Amino acid sequence: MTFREYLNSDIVRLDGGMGTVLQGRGLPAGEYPERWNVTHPDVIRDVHRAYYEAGSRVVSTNTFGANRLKFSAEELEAIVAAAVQNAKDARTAVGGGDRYIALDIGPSGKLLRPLGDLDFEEAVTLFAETVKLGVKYGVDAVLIETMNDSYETKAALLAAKENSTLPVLVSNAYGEDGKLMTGATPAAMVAMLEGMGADAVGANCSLGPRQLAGVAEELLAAASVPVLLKPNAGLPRAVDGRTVFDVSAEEFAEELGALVERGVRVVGGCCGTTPTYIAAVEQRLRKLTPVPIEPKSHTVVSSYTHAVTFGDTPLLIGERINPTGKKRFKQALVERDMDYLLSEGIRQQEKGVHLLDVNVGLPEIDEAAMLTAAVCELQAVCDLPLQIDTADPAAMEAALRRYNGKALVNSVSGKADSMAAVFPLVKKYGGTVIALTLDENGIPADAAGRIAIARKILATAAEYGIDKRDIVFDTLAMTVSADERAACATLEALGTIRRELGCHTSLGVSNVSFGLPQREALNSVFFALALENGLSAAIMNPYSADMMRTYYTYNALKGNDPNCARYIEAAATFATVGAATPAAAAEPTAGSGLQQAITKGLKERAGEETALLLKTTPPLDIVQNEIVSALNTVGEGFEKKTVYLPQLLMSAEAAGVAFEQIKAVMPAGESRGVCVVLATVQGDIHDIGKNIVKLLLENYGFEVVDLGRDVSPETVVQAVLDRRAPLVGLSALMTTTVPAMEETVRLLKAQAPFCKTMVGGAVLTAEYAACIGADAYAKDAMEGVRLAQALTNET
Amino acid sequence: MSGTVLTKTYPLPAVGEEEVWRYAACREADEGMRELLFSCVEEAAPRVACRVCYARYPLEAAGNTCRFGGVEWHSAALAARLADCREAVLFAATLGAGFDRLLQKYSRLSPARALLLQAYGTACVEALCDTFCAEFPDATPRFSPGYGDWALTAQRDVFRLLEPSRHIGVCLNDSLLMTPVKTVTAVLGIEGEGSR
Repeated sequence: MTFREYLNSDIVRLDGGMGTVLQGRGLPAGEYPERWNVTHPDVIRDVHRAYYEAGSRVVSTNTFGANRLKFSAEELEAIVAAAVQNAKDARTAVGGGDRYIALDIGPSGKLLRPLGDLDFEEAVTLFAETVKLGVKYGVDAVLIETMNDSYETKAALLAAKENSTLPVLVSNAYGEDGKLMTGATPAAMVAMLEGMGADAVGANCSLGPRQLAGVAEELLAAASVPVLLKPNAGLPRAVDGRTVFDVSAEEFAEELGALVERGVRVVGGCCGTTPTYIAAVEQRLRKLTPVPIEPKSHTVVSSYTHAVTFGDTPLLIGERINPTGKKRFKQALVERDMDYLLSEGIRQQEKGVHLLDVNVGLPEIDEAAMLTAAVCELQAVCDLPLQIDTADPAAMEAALRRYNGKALVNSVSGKADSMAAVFPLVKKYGGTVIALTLDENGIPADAAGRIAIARKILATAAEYGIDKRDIVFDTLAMTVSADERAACATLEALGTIRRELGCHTSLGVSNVSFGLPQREALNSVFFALALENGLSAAIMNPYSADMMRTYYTYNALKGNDPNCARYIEAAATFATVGAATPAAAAEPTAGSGLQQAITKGLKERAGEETALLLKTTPPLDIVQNEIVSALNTVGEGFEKKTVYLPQLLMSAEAAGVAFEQIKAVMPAGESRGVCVVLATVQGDIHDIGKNIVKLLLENYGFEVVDLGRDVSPETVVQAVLDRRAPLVGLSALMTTTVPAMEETVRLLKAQAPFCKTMVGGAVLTAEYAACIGADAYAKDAMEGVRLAQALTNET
Repeated sequence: MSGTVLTKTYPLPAVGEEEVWRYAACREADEGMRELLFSCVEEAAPRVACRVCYARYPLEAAGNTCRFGGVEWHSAALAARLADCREAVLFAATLGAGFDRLLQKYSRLSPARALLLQAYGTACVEALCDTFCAEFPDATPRFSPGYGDWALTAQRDVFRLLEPSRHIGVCLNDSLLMTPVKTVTAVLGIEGEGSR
């Protein structure tokens, strides 16, 4: 019987703890257990053999931490080779037969970016090396376990899938709150892992079987593949210098058995469990037959924290991250101004959307690089699932690969080449895909034609192994100004697909009104009609009051809003739409109003005042007479210590809002100042100081190129050369990262001698700065601005 | 041989407002700033997950070195702090990744909020350490790698012994920085029997 056949037909018996058993056999604290494969093969063989004899049908190799971060290439290969051989020897010793060996892969011990400093692709490479060795030495399956971060789990699964055809079981370590350390729920993990083709998903370590019962139930409710559970023997305690666990073998077997009765299909033990526990589990399992796995039919996407399910309550997909028809957005993309994009994301989240569409397609940019950067940066600040929106398959693949979760993919169509390009990506990386009901012959005018295309798309998806639940149909809203039957055809197709094909639907609602006046009126009624015809998700503008009003009203009327709670909450904002803003109306002299708003750090007021001023005053005059003047007042106060840093920043942010409005009306490029490149040096991840300097420099008219944190010297030099920037600002917080700063300064002097350097950070002093060759040291952000002005005036 | 790594979770510790303003280097907070701080705390509170992992080791301290957990630690200041102690409690305490994400978000979008969150987070993780340490009434004050002459490189051994990445999701990078950033590692010396 192959491992896959065993997995799909029986209750799979895994083994129990390895690390804790080895500690009991003399492994000193802090020593790598993996080395014992080579130094103590007899002990490792004994442990495997004892598990086989106790009833395990699968043992995991002693390779939990066997990766290139801990071991050299030579030692890693020796360890994996010995580990697999030890398991094989144990299997032979008990008579072979239908017994299996799983390559055990644990976490790297590093956090991935953006939280930590390990790059996603580096993590994939790291796990790939271990996987390749496991394959080379002949394991039957891969067990990825104890992962407490969804992104690292994805890296490990991708490495396993790309480097083997073995079954892959994936198990995460959930905390008492039922989530991973980095926040993912079981449903979110199932969505991502199943989408990528994991053969089983589950939970192990951290807690005992009783505490993991809730997680197990959530996994069972979400998964269409076998659910794995490998709990600890309860919680550890130290008794007389020994570690003991508080759940006995009998209790463990009883509690785990109860979960097998609920549907868990792959069982074993983690820390604190021993062959005695596994024997007790085997005893309990003998009375049980496997519960059949029910394939789930819900359509799900996920982020790194949560899953979003398409269902009775329609979903809103924010459409604002898209350069089409937006001058300011295009400018931001060309200038790689990611902050603009991020604030669009956060603003839409605050408006209540469930997903964000991300489209950065512009002819003049490298879309694959930009889309990937946008996805990664958005996922660093926003936990909504993303809809990856591109017509370029290379960009789609790059972004899907990096996406932390199961994305919504926008889009595929009924064209053969579109399906041939998109479906393999959805199959490999997971995802739910928006399918447009058009093909080589264009968009059928009637509903029947669109439904026929939908059927063709479903049939082709099935050939790729993509279930219909992962297809969401867009029946294409077309403007009624060109064809008065257009909306009817869209709605009819929508309703039929939802009812007869049983698939979810999505629409870009606002297309319906193209070319007509008062578009909001048409859009919102069309939106209501579409909802009534079975629309599951709308790609829409959440800043449109009419659309949001329609959405909340529809939900209240359709019983989707218990106690009308969300309607009532939203209704508070309906009332103010169209009314004059009181602050603006009450202020007699708008000019002094802006200065006051900035000095007091009132962002909204600053925005309103600027909008008012722009009606009467040239933009550059507002900058000179109002904004700079207010900033100078605050800056001087800071230098005299009558204004503190938080106040300075609040003022700077208020000024930033004013600048943003001014930028929107100025021709692109006209506002550009002297270029300053900023970076937190390699190895350093503290960037608040650097970001404060950035904010203030921008306030004072500099064009800041922000390279972020943990930036290599080469990247800094390249950015300086690309822009011929006259000034670089570097930040380092720790003594351990100052050498990286020194190296960056040295490389700049060698390769970009025209560029001055200023440095700052907690551990630096003026002397230290001079010692590493920097041109200037800034003790705080304001001094950074003064120095930047002085240093760039000289050049 | 001891060294069992145990983990504990804690509710959000109480943090004095003055403490936060002190970390934000701000002597006078006006109403606008206080409002901003309260809104930061309101947003942060549900995202903080206080976790501690720790282990106890028999301890020998003499001269400029001390030994526990199978490691010889070279630091006169540490040895002095742990002199006359029989046991060492090594721990790592963190606010978790959720708080880090929030810091990162505002670090990009609102440095003013980021600064106040940073100050709040520092006050919060210090308070968490105090809560944990109070469970060992016979202990010395805590002492962290990087204090005095205890080199920051000691973090590598601390991480090897405690495996915080496994127990509480804290990792150490090559520059010896911890992520999540609001994390403290430290050691206590137990003078008497200590508490359990």
